[in-house]
Amino acid sequence: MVEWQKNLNALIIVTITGILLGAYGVQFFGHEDPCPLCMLQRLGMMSVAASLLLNIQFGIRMSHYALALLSSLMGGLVALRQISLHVCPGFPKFGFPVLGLSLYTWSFIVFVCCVLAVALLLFLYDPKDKPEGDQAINLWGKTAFVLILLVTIANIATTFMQCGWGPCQD
Amino acid sequence: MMAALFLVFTLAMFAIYAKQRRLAMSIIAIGIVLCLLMFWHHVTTILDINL
Repeated sequence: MVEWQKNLNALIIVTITGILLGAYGVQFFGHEDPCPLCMLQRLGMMSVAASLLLNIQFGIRMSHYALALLSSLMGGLVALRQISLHVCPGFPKFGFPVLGLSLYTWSFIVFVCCVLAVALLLFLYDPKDKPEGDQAINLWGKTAFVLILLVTIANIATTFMQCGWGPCQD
Repeated sequence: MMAALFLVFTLAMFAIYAKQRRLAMSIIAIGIVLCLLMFWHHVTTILDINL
């Protein structure tokens, strides 16, 4: 049961990695540099992924899910803020739409889905399944770990090239 | 500063890899707070909005 839940955690991490790679696709192939709010949304997704990585490495715990929920709330707040900046009629959209919705709207949907996914995983969580000390990570977990780590390191490099260590221009 | 925030979450992932659970959780929590502070800075200063 615990192994199955860990695989679900890994699936969410791989999905988030795919979304972040999609954002890279827009950045490089659409020639659109991310704005500061877009970067904060990326950070929110990475924070959700890092919180779920804790489950894979140390076993399922409520505190790990709590961190994932806090990260989702943070990212959702930023996405909602960006939606509110462009939602009024007459205001231009930022970036090109994907399937009719802007990327920040998709980002908000992703964070809502993260909250729903964590709620579902909390339903499956049984406090009797106590996490043991050192646990071996299966191939699924290792793949998720390597992918999200590579994407995060790549984001450091591209953000540094865009803004340096200082604040990014809007 | 944004690049530094990405670095914070990379450090958290390395702490997870090194099996330092409490350290990793602390770094993630600090990262969330720093992101919120950056968001607040962006909302109030860069966009010049009065709240």
